[in-house]
Amino acid sequence: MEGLAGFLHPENLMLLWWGLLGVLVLGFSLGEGANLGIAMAQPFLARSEEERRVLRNAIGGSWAVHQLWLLLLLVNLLAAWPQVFATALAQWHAVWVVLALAFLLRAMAFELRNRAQERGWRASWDWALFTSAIIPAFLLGVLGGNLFLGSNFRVVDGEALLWTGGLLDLFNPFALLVGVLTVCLALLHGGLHLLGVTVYPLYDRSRRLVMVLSAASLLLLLVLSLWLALGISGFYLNDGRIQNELGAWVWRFAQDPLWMLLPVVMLAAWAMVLWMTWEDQFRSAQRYAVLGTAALLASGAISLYPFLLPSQLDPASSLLVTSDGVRPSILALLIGLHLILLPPLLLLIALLQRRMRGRLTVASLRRNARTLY
Amino acid sequence: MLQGAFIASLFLLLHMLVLGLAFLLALMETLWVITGRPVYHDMTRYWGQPFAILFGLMLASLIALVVQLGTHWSPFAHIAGEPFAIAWVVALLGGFMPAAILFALFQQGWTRLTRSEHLTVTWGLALTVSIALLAEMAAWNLLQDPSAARMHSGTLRLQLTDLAQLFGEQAQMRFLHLTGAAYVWVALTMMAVSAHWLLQGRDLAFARRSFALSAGFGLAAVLAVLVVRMTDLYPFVSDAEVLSYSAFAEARALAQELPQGQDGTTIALPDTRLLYAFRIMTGSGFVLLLLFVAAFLFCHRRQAWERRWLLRIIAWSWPLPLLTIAAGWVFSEAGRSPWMITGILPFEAAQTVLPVSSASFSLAAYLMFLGLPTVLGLLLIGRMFRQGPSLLATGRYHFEVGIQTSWLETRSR
Repeated sequence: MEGLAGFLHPENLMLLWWGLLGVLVLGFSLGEGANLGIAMAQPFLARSEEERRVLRNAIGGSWAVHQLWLLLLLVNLLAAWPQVFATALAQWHAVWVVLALAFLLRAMAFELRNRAQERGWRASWDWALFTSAIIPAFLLGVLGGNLFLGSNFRVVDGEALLWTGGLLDLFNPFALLVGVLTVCLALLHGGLHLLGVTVYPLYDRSRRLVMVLSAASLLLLLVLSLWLALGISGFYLNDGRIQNELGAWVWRFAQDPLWMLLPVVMLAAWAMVLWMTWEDQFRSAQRYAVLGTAALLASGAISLYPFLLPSQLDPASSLLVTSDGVRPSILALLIGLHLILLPPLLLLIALLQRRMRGRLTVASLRRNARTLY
Repeated sequence: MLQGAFIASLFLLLHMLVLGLAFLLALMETLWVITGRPVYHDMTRYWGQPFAILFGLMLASLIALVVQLGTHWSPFAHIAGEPFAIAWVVALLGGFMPAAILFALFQQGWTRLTRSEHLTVTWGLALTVSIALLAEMAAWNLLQDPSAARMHSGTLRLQLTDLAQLFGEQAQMRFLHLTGAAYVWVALTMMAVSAHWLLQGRDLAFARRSFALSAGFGLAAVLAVLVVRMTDLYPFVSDAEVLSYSAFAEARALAQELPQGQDGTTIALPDTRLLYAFRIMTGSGFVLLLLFVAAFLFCHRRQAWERRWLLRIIAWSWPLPLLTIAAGWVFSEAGRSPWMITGILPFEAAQTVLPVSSASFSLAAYLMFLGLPTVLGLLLIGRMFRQGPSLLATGRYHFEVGIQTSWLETRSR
């Protein structure tokens, strides 16, 4: 019992919570990443109305649930770190509005497209689907990249004051490159998913797409890691004072060889994705992609820890994992809610995937013309 | 402010429609599984089509709602985030996320699940959207009566003090009241559409089943709403009591603006908006009751199909529930102004200070990207209603009979 009480110390609870949020980010990246990727790949991969429908149905019904991971993440942020939520959303106000609109458009593209036969109607919704997929994949990457650069706000009297200098500052070279990376990774996940559910000729086109993109992502990851180590000034805690210095984001990896494993595993996993796709073993390629994504997110999180939202304008205002002072009882409540409600949800997702398994062909689409998208 | 009201009310209305339809779909499918009559299968499939559009629109407005809470109401999020977020975590994890999965299984599972599995999915869908509404009502109730939370004097944050009270009796009452209203709304819409088909004399078997089911279900629902009429929350039955309540609300508002110590001397003026809203709500509620009683009795005597006057009244009464709900909304919301959270946070202090240009940009953008698709979706639903069950392409219905080729085609596939 004493061991448990010790474990439930507020700091450990906070760490547990931080890790749990990481799991939600992983769920979003894997589930929604593949869906966004398939939607983005539609103009390149599908060459007829029926092939387009195969791709839409490869996303199937899961578009509805996977986008909600992002909402769950935001609401959790609101519960545990209200200041981070309020600062991040109000500061990047326009970006979030565009993101919300993209998700709105996507929901419409799924539910409304097939309700009318007109060719113009359907073609417009196809474009809507493509746009509403590439925009979130890119913008979320850009926001992620900006976490490493620090944003422009100052905390006075516990209230975040925003420096409204320029939204364009978000679109700096490093963050743009991270945006390109997330687009590539989403396409890659989408392509890998398609390997599991399509047949020739879509299968072969997807395979080529995956090989090109895994090579590109590997290259991008290498460039970005070096850039982070050599060209970005990172933040660190020095006796409770926040300072920044070139390359500080990667110091943690140098301190402990165990942490160093993470980026190594990440790069190795993405290399394996390329190799396994070359060997035409898509199941193991999919598994390595999961490992690669988890390692990528973990490396990013470890590198940022304990920062949630660093401030470039005033480093002392940076928001840390520990800074917002959420009460331990609320944290325990939130963790409990997730422990109770998350497993049935994951079971349901597994059930959905199990029941909807099987390769999608043009013939199967014709048989189920009334129930499929 | 305008934008927040637009998105929140659109979301809630869509959620009510989804909730009501989900329950009716589950009822229809149960009848199909028990009786094995194909007309119930067709009914579930047919009413599942507008359901899908409404579900998509509901999820879309949900995203807009959460994002704009951060972008446009960041002081509110910062000060009062904790208790609201907990309600929303429950709404998402226990409500919307499982509902989204079950929705996919419902739509695409017709050929891949067994009958009883599919029935379980449909009931699960009805259950999870209800859980989501309950959690939303917990959050909404907190705006009206924040006694489940307390303002911490040091951090100036609203802290949850009582989880049981957050989801307590008040929230449950609101939930039951709104659920009943949603059932009434959906039942009346379904009855009105069926009445149109009956008047046009097409798809009679299908229309009669839909009409009878919605009449019986609607009657039960309207009685339930009258029983759970929020008497514990707003304990008044007469105009005088409504006036005194509104005077109280007004006094609260005035007391806020005047210096301390003058509370007793402020002269409260009753808010007539509340009075009219209350009259409209209860008045149209009773009209609805009469409609459902009449429809149910005539159905019971198998005479409803011949009473064309009744069918005509019902066919054109579809805006009535919306009017009732709007009046109920004004009644419960107007009593709250100028507070975002009663007694704690006024509206002005809850909003993000944004430049007018970016605020109007986002208002215009939301109107276009949320309003326009909503209109499109509703137009499509109207088209479905005009088309009737023929859109299922089973070959059994009005627009398909006589076109033998399409019937043969469907069969040969």
